[in-house]
Amino acid sequence: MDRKPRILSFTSDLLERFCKPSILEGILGDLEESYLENKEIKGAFRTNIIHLFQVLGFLRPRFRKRSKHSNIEAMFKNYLIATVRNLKRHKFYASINIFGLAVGMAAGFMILQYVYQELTYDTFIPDKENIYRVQTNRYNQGELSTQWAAGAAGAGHFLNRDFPEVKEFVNLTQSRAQISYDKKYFELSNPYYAGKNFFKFFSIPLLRGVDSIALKEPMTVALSESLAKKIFGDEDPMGKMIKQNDAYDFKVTAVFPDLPERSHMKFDLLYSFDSFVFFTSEDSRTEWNWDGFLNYVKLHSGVNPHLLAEKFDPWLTELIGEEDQTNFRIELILQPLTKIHLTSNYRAEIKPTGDEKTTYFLLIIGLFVLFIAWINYVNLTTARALSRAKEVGIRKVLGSHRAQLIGQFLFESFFLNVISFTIAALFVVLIFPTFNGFVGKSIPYTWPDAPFFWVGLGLVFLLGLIISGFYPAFVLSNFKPISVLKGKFTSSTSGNNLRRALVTFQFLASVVLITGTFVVYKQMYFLQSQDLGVKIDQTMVIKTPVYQSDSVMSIKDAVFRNFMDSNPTIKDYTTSSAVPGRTPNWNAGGIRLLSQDDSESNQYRILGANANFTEFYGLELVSGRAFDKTFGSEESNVLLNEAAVAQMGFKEAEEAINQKILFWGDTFNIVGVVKNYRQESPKQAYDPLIFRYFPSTSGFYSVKVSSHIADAVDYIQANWEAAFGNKIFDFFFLDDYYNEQYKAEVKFGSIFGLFAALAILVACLGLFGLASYNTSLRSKEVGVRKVLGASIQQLLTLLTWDFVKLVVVSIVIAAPLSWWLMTNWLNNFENRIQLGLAIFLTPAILIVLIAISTVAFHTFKTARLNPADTLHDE
Amino acid sequence: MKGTNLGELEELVMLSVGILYDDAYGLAIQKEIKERCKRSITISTVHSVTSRLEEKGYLSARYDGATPERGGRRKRLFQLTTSGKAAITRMKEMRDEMWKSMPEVALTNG
Repeated sequence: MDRKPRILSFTSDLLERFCKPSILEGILGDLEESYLENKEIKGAFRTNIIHLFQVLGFLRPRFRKRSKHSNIEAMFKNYLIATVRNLKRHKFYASINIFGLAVGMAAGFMILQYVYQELTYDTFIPDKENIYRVQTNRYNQGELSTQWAAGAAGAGHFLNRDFPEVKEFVNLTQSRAQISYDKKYFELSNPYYAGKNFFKFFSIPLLRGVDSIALKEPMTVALSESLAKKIFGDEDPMGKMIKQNDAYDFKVTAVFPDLPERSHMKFDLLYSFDSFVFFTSEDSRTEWNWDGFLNYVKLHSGVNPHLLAEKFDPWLTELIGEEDQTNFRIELILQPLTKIHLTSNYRAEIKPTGDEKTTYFLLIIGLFVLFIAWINYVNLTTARALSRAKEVGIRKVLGSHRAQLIGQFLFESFFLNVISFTIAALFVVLIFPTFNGFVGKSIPYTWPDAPFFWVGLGLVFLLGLIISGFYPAFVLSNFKPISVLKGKFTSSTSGNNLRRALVTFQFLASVVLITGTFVVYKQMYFLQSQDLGVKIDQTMVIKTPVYQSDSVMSIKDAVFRNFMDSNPTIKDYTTSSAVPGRTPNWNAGGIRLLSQDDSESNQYRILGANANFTEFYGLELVSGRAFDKTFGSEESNVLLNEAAVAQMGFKEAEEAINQKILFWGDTFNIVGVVKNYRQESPKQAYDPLIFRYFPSTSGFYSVKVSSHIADAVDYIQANWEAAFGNKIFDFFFLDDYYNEQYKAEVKFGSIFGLFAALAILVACLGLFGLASYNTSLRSKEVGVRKVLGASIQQLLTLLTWDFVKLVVVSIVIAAPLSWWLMTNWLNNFENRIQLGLAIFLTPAILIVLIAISTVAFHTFKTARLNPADTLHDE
Repeated sequence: MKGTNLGELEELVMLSVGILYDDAYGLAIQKEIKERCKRSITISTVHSVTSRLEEKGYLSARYDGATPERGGRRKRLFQLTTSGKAAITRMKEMRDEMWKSMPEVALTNG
């Protein structure tokens, strides 16, 4: 009886292919029988699994069919031999091909990884889909004035109270306090006050302590693992007391793991929020006009955040009054947790955010380089078709089908791709730390663990294989045996045209990248060479220590100042609440002229300064006078910058002098107007500033030092300790601090430059290979021309022009493209360069020169050949 | 010559073939060993051992006895060959001999 087998048909097929026929039937019968038995006892699924393992067990050499007809293995062996021989015979082309591909792949690999990292911030938080940060936008008379990452204090509280869609919320606010333990002071990088449910909210597992009670009480604190180690060493931190600002004792109730780099959050210490309430007032939970509070809300799953956000405006109008919501509108925006890193760059972020545009820009650049490398491969392989033509002819005569030849060439591509891939992986591991330095991260290379990344990489590899393998395979396998074996073979015009088009594309990409690099660097230079209107050279800035009582501070301060007065390396010093290089962190709304109506008030940045601040920083006064400590009631006077004067509605600076302003209930007199200067980087427009007179020291000492900088630093540090004991001596040089603002641009420029260089390298490799091949094909033509009297110069022009032509075409196409791209980029800047002709001409000339020198070696060699040598075998 | 010695598993398989006598095929051998020796061996291992024993000339095989449970496929039935019988007999005698030579005290006092 013969019936259909009931075991899986593919496994029986497999065994039929694999096993010796003499024992096959017995094996299949046994499998079938045991399959049926198992099915009755163990169910279909387990049976199938068992069955699969059983079948796998039979795939051993003992049962293998030894057939003379199977030649798959022999075929691949032959392919491999042919490939290796071919590579060996043409070492030069092979190495160009492999190297070019490897560089391209390495570039693609690095970019892919970088982009992957940027795109996966905060994905480690389990409940990420439902967590949103409430971002606060503030408007003045309908005009957007400030966008806060850390916004209104009450936002989270009221959202949670009034909307059933909100499951819970947590709030945080930054702390500037200093801590000490056992009379030793410790530098904190990111201390915050955090709501009691913080750890539960973000599902952060605690190393020590219990998450539901860790931050429940006032005067409790949670430490990061590394900070706990720094403070307590091997001691158990739990229950220990640390001192805040020499005054308050906080009990350590939890230790949390350091948050991953790929998070928009970074904390080393979290006080309980109730402590903040204790220091300030209950208002810090509910106040709408107090910014600087990070609010996170967790929505019930399934809630549409857009629909929820639509209800905010009417709700706020009702909550804070129609008039206020018209004049000083508050807008609340729900930022999805995982989007914060790339799409948010607002005031008071926890740490610097990334940039979506840059990330995608990079992705495109990386893909460019990858494409250039693939194109190289296609070009070199098809161009060298001639040397393979005879092989193809012979194979066809001996009976190869076209499909088999395609298979062979695909196998070759695969082989080369694998080699290149291996080299690329090696490159990446070696180069990655340097690359990370470029993009401003200092983590060593680790292989990403996410399947997504590897699938992406696999796809890139596969795509490369298809792009680089298929076309050459089809071209090469298409030769007619009769014509190639007769030696009448010439490469087709269409193939030549395609190669030209591809080379043009390569150079187009290169030109765009070089122009881009050029523009980025020019813009950088332009920004840095701007007149800042403020002198920041040879200035050392020291953060003032924090004392709980002003009187203690002023005594210590006087001691320190005394030291500074009596040293020749110190030319001058001043104190202020902020220094140039950042936005002053005091942002105050509701300020207006005494004569104005409340609805006309505005937001300003406030900078508290000592009397000599303007003189110290070389600020120019347009009108009125600077602060003067010999005057009596200087505390009730203010200085404005021109932008602030304009915002108050004055046309001329003079008009503002002696006008009164109302600032949070107090009246101030405008005594002077300072010319606009670059408090922040020239990237931004001038911000309206108000200077208030702060004779006491809080914030920063700015010290102008003489050229003996090291001596000055030593002196100041020694006397710092004499004056303030072991309080942390935290200082920086102002020009470095100021230039940090250009970090993103510097980074962008370096990456741009790096990949432009890679692109040009790979493109030139391709050109080099192509030139060497094309000129060798034309050696006979050159011989004939020489015999007929052509000079070397004419020949050089003839041979070079072929390539230069392509480069010129690519430049012509690239110019508008790069103009468009770079205009787009420059729009990010308030101050920007104009894109003149020179910006496009310089890279163009550079590229032409590079192209000419790349092909020169070969053209020169060919042009100099003795015609007798090239023509004698005709 | 290679293969004149019997491995333990080989011996077990041969004994099972002897026990099953008329119905000694892969799956039956596997079950026999499992029941008697409490040893789980995979079906592919059984086939591997029988094929090795065939090479040594201790077993012979024929096809017979198709059943519906086997999808109509015949069983590959094994039989001990003359040299196979001799080999396990020799094995048993050798063991008996060794047992006999063992003083009783070696087993009783431990």
